[in-house]
Amino acid sequence: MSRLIKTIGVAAALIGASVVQAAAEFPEQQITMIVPFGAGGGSDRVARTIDRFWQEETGQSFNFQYQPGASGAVGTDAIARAEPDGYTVGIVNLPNMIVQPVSGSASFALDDFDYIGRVNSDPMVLMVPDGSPFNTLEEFIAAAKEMPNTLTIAITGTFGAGQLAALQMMDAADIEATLVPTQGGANTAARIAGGHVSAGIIGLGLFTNQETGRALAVSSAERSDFAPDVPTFDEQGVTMDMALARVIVAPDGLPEEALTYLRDTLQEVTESQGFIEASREQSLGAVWQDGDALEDAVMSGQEQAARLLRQYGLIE
Amino acid sequence: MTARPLEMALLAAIALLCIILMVEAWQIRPPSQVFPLAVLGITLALTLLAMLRASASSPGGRLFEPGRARVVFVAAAGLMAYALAMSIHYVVASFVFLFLGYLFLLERRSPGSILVAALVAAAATGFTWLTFDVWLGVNLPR
Amino acid sequence: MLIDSIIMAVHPSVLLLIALGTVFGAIIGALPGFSSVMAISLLLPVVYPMDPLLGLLVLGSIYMGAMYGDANAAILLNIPGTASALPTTFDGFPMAQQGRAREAMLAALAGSVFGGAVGVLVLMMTFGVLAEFSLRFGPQEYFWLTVLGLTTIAALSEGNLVKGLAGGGLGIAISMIGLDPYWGMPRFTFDAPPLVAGIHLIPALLGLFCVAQVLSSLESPAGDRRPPEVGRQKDALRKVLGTMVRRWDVMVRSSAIGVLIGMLPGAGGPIASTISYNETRRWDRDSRSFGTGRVEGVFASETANNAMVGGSLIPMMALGIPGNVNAAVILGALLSFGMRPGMSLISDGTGIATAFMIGLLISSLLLAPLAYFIIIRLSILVLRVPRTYLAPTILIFASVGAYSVTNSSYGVAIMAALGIGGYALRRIGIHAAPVGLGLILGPIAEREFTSSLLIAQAQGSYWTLVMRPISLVLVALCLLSIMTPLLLSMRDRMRKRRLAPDSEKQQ
Repeated sequence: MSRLIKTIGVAAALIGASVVQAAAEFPEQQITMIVPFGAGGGSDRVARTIDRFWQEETGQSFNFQYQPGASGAVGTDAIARAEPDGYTVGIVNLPNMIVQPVSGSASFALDDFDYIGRVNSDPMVLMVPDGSPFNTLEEFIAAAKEMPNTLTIAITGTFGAGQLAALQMMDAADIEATLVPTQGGANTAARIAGGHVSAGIIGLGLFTNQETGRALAVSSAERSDFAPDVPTFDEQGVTMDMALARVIVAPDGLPEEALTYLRDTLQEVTESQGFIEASREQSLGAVWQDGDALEDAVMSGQEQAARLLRQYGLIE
Repeated sequence: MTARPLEMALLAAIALLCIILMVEAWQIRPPSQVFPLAVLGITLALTLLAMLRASASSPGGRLFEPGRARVVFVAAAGLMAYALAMSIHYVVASFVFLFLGYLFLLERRSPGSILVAALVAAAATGFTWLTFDVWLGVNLPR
Repeated sequence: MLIDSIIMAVHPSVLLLIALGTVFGAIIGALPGFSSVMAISLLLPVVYPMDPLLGLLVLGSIYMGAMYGDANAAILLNIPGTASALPTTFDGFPMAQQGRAREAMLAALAGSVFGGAVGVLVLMMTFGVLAEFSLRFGPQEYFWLTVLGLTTIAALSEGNLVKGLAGGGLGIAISMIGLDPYWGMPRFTFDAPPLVAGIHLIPALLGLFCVAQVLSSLESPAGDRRPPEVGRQKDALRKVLGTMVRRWDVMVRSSAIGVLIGMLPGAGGPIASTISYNETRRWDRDSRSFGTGRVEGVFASETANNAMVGGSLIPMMALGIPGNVNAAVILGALLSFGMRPGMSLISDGTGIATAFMIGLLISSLLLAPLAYFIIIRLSILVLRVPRTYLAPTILIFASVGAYSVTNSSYGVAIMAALGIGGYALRRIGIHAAPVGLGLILGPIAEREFTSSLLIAQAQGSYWTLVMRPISLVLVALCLLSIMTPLLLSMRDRMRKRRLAPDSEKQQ
């Protein structure tokens, strides 16, 4: 008799446990966010902003892990190689992530990832110092044509948004200028402001947050609210759309449930009033793009980037 | 071992490294070629000069006092072993390294001092784990 | 208006927060492998919902505290807590070995307080004007600045210039492993994937200074007993204050250098403290004795790296261009509180920015009692531990610190490799300091050189590398830096020959 009761008890417990198991939803533990740059940098701050509003939405916060090195390639690779159980995600820069596999300086490929979504997009501006003789994009291009490779353009880092934007601009306007890579966005801005280069390409956010210089053009499709006086490249006859975007990715092969949860929550966070305003304060546009559209954009972006880089002899 | 053979050997190794790196630097496209070649070239020249000076000077004294070479080598080897083990399980590896380390360095071992060693090892391991993993969020391997 | 800001800044809750932040920063700074940037970033989520003044002051006081804290490990254990404290090891550690640890730590504290306060005062007074000046530094100037820093190697290695410079070159060579700064392609990596990330600085310094030091200490039996009393040095405080007053020239010069270099975006702490050390040595009567335990060396280094705090905030607040990563994070917080850089910060009617600067000043001054009563006491305890227990424990701490930078055992591998290698080099007369300087300054020198080269090529003239007002001054200083030790040792050699023509040649 007692044995029977015992057996029923054990069976009940087992059934109960499995029911509880099934009812337990993703996420059951803290999710790790890998940041491929150093603590305190631009990517970190965006990630922290996401974390802040993610906490408001879900009550959960991320466990931050920094993996700096090789302009983000090391950390991005770490994301690709993590367990695809939904408990590891990472914040990545576009177009850096697109270009690194092509350049041979990274060991990941674009299809090693599941794309959660894009959280902001920062168009690039062509900035000149206060004392510059150029007042419009036209003047700049004219001067560049007259003296090929004499004008200098500062850009942030290599294989980043600045470099690709500069290449795109030179290609579209058919000019040649010398690109001068600089470490760190702030230093690029300083270099331009000090007049050590003829001009430079930096993110709109960085430009509007500091007080010097003028912007001759912006790469967004329409004029930006943050700088309504700056004409776009398109309206001045130069086709240019390169932007610096921050996206959240996870290793390829996530379970359906996790992927949906992450995508939905990230979308809510990105479209929330708080996040939009917080981004505004840093002059970043919070522009959501969902995972599938993002994946398409990334794949086609790689072709374009590779073509540009090859054209200018930057990769084989 | 005396000082001079070690000096010559190490300087030669540095010089060799410079040469190997210079060969690779030669393949780099300008403008990135200039700085590495200049620095490596200067370092190579300096190293060779140092080798010349070393060969002209006296052979130098012993490197280690009696019995100390063993201590240093064991310490270095222990560190390397710890570096590997630490990535498998931080807490265990740290405790073992500390405990064995203390015992190895202790000049007089008694049951009392062995106990102290174990306690200190445990305390240090616990403290570092608390500070780094729990408080600062470093995620030590487990 | 100013009165309002002062009232805001001395509110008890504000003061408490400043004190906590400063202490926290000092502790973090003292832990090798941790930087103030990491500490600040950890607290960002906490800071966002806070009142703007409180939030900014938390971050600012941590920054200030860390620039002091890094000195303690440098003095006691020969490990710079952050790269900015590297020159503090040059004289600080010898002082500790001579039983003058207390004097060294008090000097570091006094220097940090003085430099920090001066830096913030300059920030408050010059705000807009100096920021414009800092922009005049282009890649060429930055390059010569790093060369000037590298010439410190010559000063340190007077005994053996060749080996010292070779060590520096080796440090630069190691720093070149990784990605090419212009092409972005891997170089010197021998197809080993982890090396593409390069040799991270903190694990490398931990190896060179900490591990090599520990191995070196094992050469002689010392063991179980507690080390002899460190020398209570009851008069240490009086001595230090007396030196500070007597050598006001060192204090002023170091503060000026710290502020100036802090203002240059991207120049950073290590450059400030290194150049300050070099210049202090240059203008000293007895420059040969630097590196053997001159307290002025500690003053020079620590005053400069705390003055840098205020300096780095000048372009950040005036122009929105931060002087280094710490300033960049604080800029981020500033923006998220809805404030904008520029002159509007002090004329916007809230007085918050002014209160922030006053709060920073308070932070630097509070360092004095906080560190004196808490931190120095704790640190001295470290010296009492018998080497048997200290050595392995230090290795563990260093390993964790190295691990935390890369979040993988790659950091620990770097530390172990450079530690054992560094120890071997030390045995043959190549010391850690020149190699460390090469590691830190090498990448900056290369980047700025490459940029300068590109600009020169674009403008069609290589004269631009040198023919600029500021650059000329810097080049002259570099030449002086190298010539002086050379000339001095030649003069010595001639003197020796005159006095004893039959003695065999030295070295």
